[in-house]
This record gives sequence, C-alpha cells and structure tokens, in this order.
Amino acid sequence: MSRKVGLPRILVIDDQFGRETANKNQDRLNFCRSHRLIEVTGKSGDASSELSIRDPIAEAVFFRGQLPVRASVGDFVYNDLDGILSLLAPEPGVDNSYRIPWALVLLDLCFYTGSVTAESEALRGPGMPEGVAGDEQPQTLFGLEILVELTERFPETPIAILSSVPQWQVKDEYIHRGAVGFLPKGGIGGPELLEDYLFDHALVPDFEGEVVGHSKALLRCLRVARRSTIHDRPVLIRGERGTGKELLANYIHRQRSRSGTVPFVRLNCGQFSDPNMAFSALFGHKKGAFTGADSNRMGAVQSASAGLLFLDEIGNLPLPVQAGLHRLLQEGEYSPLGAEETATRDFSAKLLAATNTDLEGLTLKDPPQFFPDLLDRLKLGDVVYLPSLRDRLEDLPDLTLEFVRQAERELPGAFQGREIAPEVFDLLTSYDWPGNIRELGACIRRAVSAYKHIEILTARCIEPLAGGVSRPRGASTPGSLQAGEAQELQSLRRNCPDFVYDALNPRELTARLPEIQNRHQQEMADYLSAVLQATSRPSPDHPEGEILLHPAAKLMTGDRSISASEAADLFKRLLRPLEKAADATLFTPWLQNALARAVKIRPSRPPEE
Amino acid sequence: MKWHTIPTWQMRRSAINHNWLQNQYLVFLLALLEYSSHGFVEEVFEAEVVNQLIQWLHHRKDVETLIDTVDEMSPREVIQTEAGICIPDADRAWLGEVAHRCWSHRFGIQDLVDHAKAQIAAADEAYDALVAAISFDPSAVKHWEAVASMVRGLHGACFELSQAISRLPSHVEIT
Repeated sequence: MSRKVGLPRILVIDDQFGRETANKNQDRLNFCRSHRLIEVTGKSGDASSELSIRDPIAEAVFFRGQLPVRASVGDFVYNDLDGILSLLAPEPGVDNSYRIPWALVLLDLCFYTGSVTAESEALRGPGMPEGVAGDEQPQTLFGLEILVELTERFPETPIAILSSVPQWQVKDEYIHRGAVGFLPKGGIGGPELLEDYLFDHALVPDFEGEVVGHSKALLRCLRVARRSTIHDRPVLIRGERGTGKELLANYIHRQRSRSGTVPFVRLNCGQFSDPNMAFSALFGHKKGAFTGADSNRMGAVQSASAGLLFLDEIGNLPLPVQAGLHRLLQEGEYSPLGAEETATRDFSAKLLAATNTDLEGLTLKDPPQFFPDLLDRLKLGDVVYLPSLRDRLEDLPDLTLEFVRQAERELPGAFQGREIAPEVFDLLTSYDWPGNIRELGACIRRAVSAYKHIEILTARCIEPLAGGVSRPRGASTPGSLQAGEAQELQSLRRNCPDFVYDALNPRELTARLPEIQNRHQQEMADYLSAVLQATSRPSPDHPEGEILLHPAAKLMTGDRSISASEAADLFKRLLRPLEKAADATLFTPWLQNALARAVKIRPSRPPEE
Repeated sequence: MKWHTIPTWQMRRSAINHNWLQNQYLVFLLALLEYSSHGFVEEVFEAEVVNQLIQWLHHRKDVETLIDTVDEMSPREVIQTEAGICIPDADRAWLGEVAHRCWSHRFGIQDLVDHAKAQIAAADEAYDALVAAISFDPSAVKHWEAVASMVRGLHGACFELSQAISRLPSHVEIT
C-alpha cells in the first residue's frame, strides 16, 4: 500500500502574510521560500506555481484574520475573529468527514488595525494600516484572543505562535493559553522547528499511505506512535485482532528512521511451541546448547542492535523466555542460550511489542500466564491503542477502495479502477467487523475475485459471497461500544427535561393545546439534540462532535439492525415538523445539520408510515 | 495617578522594526539563505533578489533616525505635554529634566542606542560584502553556496539589529 499521498496542510493566520494585495504578496512568498512551504491559498495556486520549493514541509493556506482582506488607502482595517473561527469550524449542512483537517495553525500575535494611509503603506507595506494603541501590547494582543478561542473550541488543533514579538515578553501568555510552541519570524531554524511541531503535535495521516485512514481515532494513535520514537523506552501496541498492529510497527520504524535508516527485526512470539526455540530465536544460542544446536546463532535481540526489535503477539511468549525479556528490559543485558551466566551482552535496541491479548488478565491467572513485572516494564514506555474498525468507520471508504485496488492488481484479468456503489458503504458500515481491517480486506478480495470483470462493485457482489457480512444481530460488541452506550444514556438522561402533564379538565386542556404542542415539540427537539450529541464523534473537522445519524438511530430505537438509509428516513420524519415549528428557535443548528445529512443520504421522500 | 502612554515613536518602531525589518527584510534574507545554500533554482526569485536586497539602503536611514530619536520615549516628553498640565510652568522644565536623566540612567539608554548603532554598522558591512559578491546580477552568480555565508552574515547582523531595537523602551509610564 505504499504511496506518497500528500503533505500536512497548515493554516497561517497573520495580518501581513495573510493580506491580499494588488500584486503578489512578496512577504508571503518569501515566508514560503524560507520555511519550505507550498502556498495553496485559494483555488488558483498561481502563487505556488512560481515557487520551486525543495523538499517541502507542508502546504500552507494564509489568512489575514482581518477585514477587509484586501485593503487600500482610505479603508479601515479591523480584526475578524468570526472569519477565523469559520475557517476551523465544520461547514454546516455538508458532510465534513473527508475535509482535510489543519495539521497545525501558525498564529501571529500582533494584528495592526486602523486606517490605511499612504504613510502606513509606505512604512508597513501595501494594505497595512497605521496601527492603534493596544495592537502590540502584550495584555491586549489580538493573537492571544484568537489563541484562547481556538484552544477552547478546537482543542485538538495544535497552534504555534508565529511572531516577531520577543519570545520572553509573551511566553507566559501563550504557554498558559495552550500554544505548542513559538516560531520566531525572521529567525534561523524555522523549518526545523516547524517540522518538530508537526511531528509532535499534528493530527496527520500516514503520508506514505501504508496506514490508510484519516479518522481522528487513527490520527491520535499515529501521533502517540510518532512521539514514542523520540525515546528508547519500550512501546506496547494494543488493539483487537486485525487492526493493523504490524503496519503501525512499520510506521514507528519509518518515523524512527527519519534521520537515517535503522535496523528493524521482527519476531512473531506465537510461532514457537518449544520455549528453547523461542529463547534461541530471541537471544541466540551457543553451539551445543540443545540437541541440534550445532553452531552459534545470533538472536533477534542482537540483530536489532541500535535499531528496533518488534515482538508481535507478545502474550504468547513462553514464560521462561519472558523472564529473560524482563531482565533485558530491566538490566539492559541478556545471555544467549547455553552461554555462561557471566557472559552477558548489552541491549541497545528499542523494543516494540504488540498484542491483542488481555495481558492484565493473564497476570491474574493462577499460576500467572504473563509475568507481571514484564508487563510493568512494557508499560513504562508508551502504550499505543489501535482503534477497532467500528471505532473508525469514517475510514471504511478509503480502506475499501484501497482493498479493491489491491485485489484488482493481484487478480490477472480483473477490471482495473472499478467504481464502488454508495450502497456498498451503507452495507459495510452496518456491520461491526469483529475481525477489523483484516476481515474487511478478505471480504473485499472475495467480492472482487468473484466479480472480476464488472465495472461497478455493488452491494449485491458482497453480501451473498462474503458469507459473514450479515449483521450479527443482538450480538454484544466487546469493548468500547458498550461503555460508550452507557455514557450516551447518561448524557441522554441529563439532557432530557422532565415534563409534567397536569391534571386538567378537557376545556382547559383544549385551551392549552398550542402550548402543549409547543412543549411536545420542544421536548422532541431536546431529545433529538441530546441523542445526536450523545452519539456524535469528534473528528478533525468537528472537534465539538460530528453528527452520526446511524448510531443515533440505533440508540433511539434500540434496534442495532437498522440500516443507514432507515436511520436517515427516521430523522427526516422526526425533523420535518420541527423545521416548520412555530418556534423557530427549536430548529437548532444541530437539528438543521442532522436534517441536511438525512436528506443527503436519502434525497427521496421517505415512505409514509 | 498613573500615566501610561504609547507615543508615536513606538508606532514608528513597530512599522520599521516589526513590519519591515523583521517581517519583510529578515524573511527575505531567510528565503535567500535557503536558496543560496542549495544553489539557485527559481528564476522569479532570482529576478527579484536585487530589488529586495537594496531595501536595506532605502530603510537604513529610517532605522537610524528611529534609534536617534528614542528620547521621544523619555518621561520628559510626557511631563512637558499631557501629564504635566497640572505642574506649574516653572517646575515643569527641571522636573522633566530630572525625570529624563533618571530614565536614561535606569534603562541604560545610551548603551542600548550605541549597541543598536553598532549593529547598523555591522549590517552595512555585511550588506556591502554581499552586494559585491552578487554584483547586482544574480544570474551571473555561479556558486551560490559561496554566497550563502555572506547572506548568513547579513541576516545575523540584521537580526541582532532588530533585537537591539526591540530592547529600546516600549512605553512611557509615570506613577
């Protein structure tokens, strides 16, 4: 699956670099040249086409953060917080699942306001105003106001300060408000700092394309994985079977090799039935250590010297070997099988271990099946949790497409580049995928193999052939879904107001009918809002939560077998009356977005009940 | 009573130091450094280099004037104008002079000014060396890598100059 799929995209909010000018903004172009950025502001890309950037770090979109964006003499320039927020907020009524999130925001601190005069243009540059008192006072910097708003509303978007204000003057302000760093304008070392900020903080996909997906759950996991490469402590990769633990280990190796390739040695701990063989594979053996050991042999630990040692399925490592591994991690030493106890060697690699096993459970068995001290040692470094496929369903289309293309390439005579009908995704997302990505891959390969000449992959190709692709009705899903449902219900209870129906006589009841209808609509609006919020999922473009109609409908109906189309129809039926309610405030943006999504999924009129 | 003011000198400084020197000229020099370090490849930039480089000559005088007029940030100016309206005329002059000397001594104004001017001289020298190397014809430069060290020298001098200007007082406060 290896291919370069892009660059991180950053947003630069800066009054000088972001302003539009009659001619090209020379300062912006120089900033791009000096920081190895490809300028992609707007659609034309005219500016970027004339720049030849060597080894680019990122794509950059520039924004002034002020109005008018293109100012001239006589204009009054003022700050535009709403405009800035709209750049980061999800677009209402549109499916934002596939919008590219900002990997990083570079935020200026001083924004000069006031009138644009001939003198101000001569001194500060075209379109720049005179400036007013307070524009550059640390207590009233507009950049700090933006920082507060952005970190509150979009907590997962990393923000670094880009300023020529002396760093010491503002460090307390920007650090306490949540910025991840400070990039001094005009200072040496900017590109390296920028790369570091992106590496440490950005929620970005694997640009090599090996780990496919851009869901926030996956991006968080990749960020932890990248951060784990900067130290030598062990890394424990955890995740259900088929979630791609080996691919993540490859990713960690690639990130670790940024400044030069390092050895990468893998060992599957589940392949050994004999503890001696496992010990020998890991630590090596001396000639004569056991029957058949007719020469000295180097183990994986030694082969991985100064590199990475990846132990897959570590839960299956035989207990005697676990003791040796514990010693390795604790003392940094090991002895090959059959060697004298004193003949120790130093361990100089970083250990990656992966498992889908409940290691904690194994330590509690009597006798323990996993060495508790070893587990403690493994957890001393980073623990990276790979999300299950059902927790990153927004990645399913990308994964499906990737598997389709793979299968086409592998299958002689297969039609190449077939389309995938939208209902395929409906079908696939309605399944829980206990076998995760591996199961999805197998399912898609079977479908392509069975229909290798067709030009459009439809749901019909998949369901009868996959055998397993029918929803496990009523089956409980292990892990986070159950815990998530409990939280959703608590949230629902909190958000639904009590409504007491008084004992009224018919006349009074009739008189109060409009009020009761209104209250009923209000209750319905609140109920739907609560359900939508409870089942929403934060995503790169929806830090406050992305509306997911399908899970919401499952929660409301208790029917886990409801399809995405049925869910959309349900919401259309419930939301249409609220759209026309006398009290227009009931139809909140959440509900408007939900209806827009439902209509997008099911444009036709829903069947009447 | 507390008197806090931001004189026009400060706004001039922000325009010259912040908008021009730091945001324009230093960023241009960084771009030039990036390109010259790896050999020139962008024709558009190459054509603009001289025009952007000579901005130093256009703004050098503004920088010097700014440093020479830092006394506009002295409390004397404020006492003799807005904050001093309640002070008898006979006292205003000597009080302003005392305040000025205290301010100048306390913040080491002369040292700051001398240091900033030394940076102007250093920038002049680095600028001349770079211009001589380029000879106002970047397209004729054969070995940009050799020019890179001169670009680095000019950038370093201008960066120090910008820091020196930043260290000059930023507001007037009379308590």
